[in-house]
Amino acid sequence: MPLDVAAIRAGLADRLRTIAGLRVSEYEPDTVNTPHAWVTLSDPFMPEPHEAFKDGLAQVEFTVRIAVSDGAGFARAQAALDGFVSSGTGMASSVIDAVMGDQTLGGALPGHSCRVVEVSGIRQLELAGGVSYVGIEIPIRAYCPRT
Amino acid sequence: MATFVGLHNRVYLGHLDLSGQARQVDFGTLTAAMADVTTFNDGGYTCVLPGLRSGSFSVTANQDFAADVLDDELGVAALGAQYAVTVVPNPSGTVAAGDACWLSRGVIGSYNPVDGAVGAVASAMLTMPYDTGTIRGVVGHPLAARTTTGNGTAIALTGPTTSQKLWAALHVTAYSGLTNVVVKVQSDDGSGFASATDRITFATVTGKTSEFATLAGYGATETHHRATWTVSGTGSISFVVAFGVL
Repeated sequence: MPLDVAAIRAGLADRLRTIAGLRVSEYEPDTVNTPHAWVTLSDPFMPEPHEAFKDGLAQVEFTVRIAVSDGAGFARAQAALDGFVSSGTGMASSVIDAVMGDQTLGGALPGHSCRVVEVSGIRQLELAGGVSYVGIEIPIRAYCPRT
Repeated sequence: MATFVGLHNRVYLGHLDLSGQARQVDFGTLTAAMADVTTFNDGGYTCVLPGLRSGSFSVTANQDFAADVLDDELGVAALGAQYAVTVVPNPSGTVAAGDACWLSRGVIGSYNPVDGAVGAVASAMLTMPYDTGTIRGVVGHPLAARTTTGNGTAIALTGPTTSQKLWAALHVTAYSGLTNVVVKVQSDDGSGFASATDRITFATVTGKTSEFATLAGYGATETHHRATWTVSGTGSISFVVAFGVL
């Protein structure tokens, strides 16, 4: 199967949409309505295109960015992020659990898998328009053939 | 071929094309044991004679438990079993008849079905000491699906002298529907194959299989070799033929 970036991006977004109350975009949005998550390509996006001979496997990395509002104060912004970085039973807003709940991303990676490789601390997310939001970044590594 | 980066090396082991799973392949090291024959008259230096030749094939692959891909075929039951192996170095992704390759046959001596740290791609490792000659040959038929009878490209390869052999490997990676297929290696004294002679006829193919065959030298007057396949029935066969003279 080919490495279909749009399909993997859509699959990741669908996993994030399982989190109630989180707005999700497959691309960085022009307008952010917090709490808002979107999928970007990490830099580098494809750190290893040749994990096997014959284009057998490529390693790619996406980053999920989640922005929250700090209009009601930084403390509330921090509190709003806690649920997204939690994990385990009862943690219904967990991004880790949402992504790892279907590592094939709805069939975008059939026979292969992805995993959360890191969860960042709280940081300022700079958007293309120059606006910034308080948020977190979660890089997700996926393995997929290139044939 | 100039120096190259092996991005598209082909690894055929038994009836499996492991190229899409393999991430490292070693066809050697090929060695000749050095027998010590030093005497008092050798001036204080060691003197050796070449002895038995040996080598071992090994491959590290991304493990895959799907049916007929890797572990399903090369599990514990394969330990001690004999397989033909062909490795085609390739930088471009396109393998052509006449491309250099290495072929042999061995017995699987070790297999590690699961290897890897948390978060890493699960790996498998396999080593297979050779139990016959190791030949630098040519690809007679690159992996391709055939549905009808045909002849491969004529390859300039001088026939084996009486002290040499013709060595050939067949890897049938896919097979469906056909009654049977007869795969041969032929030689001729011209590229046109006007007087083609069958040299090696592999066992009649009725499914996915592999075979390694040899033939005693028949003279260097033959200048060209090719693969041929005779298809009976309706269906498809995907196979690789490699051969060489040593």
